[in-house]
Amino acid sequence: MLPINCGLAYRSTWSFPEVAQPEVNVDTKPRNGGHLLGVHQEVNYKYESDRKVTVSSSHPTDDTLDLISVSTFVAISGILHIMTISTALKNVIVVGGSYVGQSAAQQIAAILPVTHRVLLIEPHSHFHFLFVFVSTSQWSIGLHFHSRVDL
Amino acid sequence: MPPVTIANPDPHKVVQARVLSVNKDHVVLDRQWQGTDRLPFDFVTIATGARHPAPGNLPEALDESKAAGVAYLQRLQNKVMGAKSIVIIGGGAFGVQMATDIKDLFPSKKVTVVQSRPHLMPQFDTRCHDIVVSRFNELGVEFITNTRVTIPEGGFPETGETFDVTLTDGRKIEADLVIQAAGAKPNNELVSRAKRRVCHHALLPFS
Repeated sequence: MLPINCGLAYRSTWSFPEVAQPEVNVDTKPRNGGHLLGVHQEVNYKYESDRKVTVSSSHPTDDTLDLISVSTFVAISGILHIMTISTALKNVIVVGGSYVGQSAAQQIAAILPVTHRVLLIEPHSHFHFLFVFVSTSQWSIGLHFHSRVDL
Repeated sequence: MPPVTIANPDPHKVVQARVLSVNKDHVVLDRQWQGTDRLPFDFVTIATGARHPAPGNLPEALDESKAAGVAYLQRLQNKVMGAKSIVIIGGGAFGVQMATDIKDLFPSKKVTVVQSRPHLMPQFDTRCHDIVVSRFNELGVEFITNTRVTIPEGGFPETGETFDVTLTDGRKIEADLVIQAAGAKPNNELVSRAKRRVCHHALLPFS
């Protein structure tokens, strides 16, 4: 009687240790065909070249800026750029870690560039599986009183 | 160019906190996370779902304590064990699950599902209704459709005494326990409190 839930059918990369995740045979490759790295690289290069263009063109008429300081500026901004990517990740926030939120977070995570991360915000320490919670509570008394194991 | 090394291959995180508000470019948490209660975002998905009356969701006061939640469900178990005639309000997935579980384990108890619509589990194909009806008949679960329960002021007694459950068509069912399995409400407080401009950045899967 349990509805098949898409949120649980994907590979779980989240730590919800209290949840007994059903073992479902699914394709565990990322949804973009496993070329996550390729996507990242593409985005990176594009971003880097955009950045260089911006840096060099923002000071071309500045007479006080000599060649050394321009190249230094470019070098520093390049370093800053790399630091930005590796340290200051931008957030894609998912509010709510239930069926829809978990599924959304996993699907978004599979296609995000390295510049971004998913933050799944959920107040509970555990996954509240609506049907299983009440069901198992009934089963546990049933098993106790009837010794039936025909689940 | 050489391939770029990914500094942190798994940057994604689960944050255990409640979101108090969604603003233009950040959310406010009810507690600190990594030294801040404000998390900036480029994009936000609001997937806060719906809230069900207990026992679908635990009563709000117990909601975030696992031990209190377990104790609550154990009290519900005891009520079910002590009851002879149980009325379940709502013939959706939760009501049907509850009814079949109880009747499967306790065939001697009378279980009645009251459903306001013509079909059970109406969000699915009507063939689902047929499957449920055939299982109800196997187990001996009674059900009434197209009818609502009149909930008395202050709710139904929970002391175990026998009382009449009155339906909107005038019928009465004798019962000693009523379980509510209807009346889910969307958790849309965050959206209603959010400023209008937030909506340009928000994705609402179930709006």
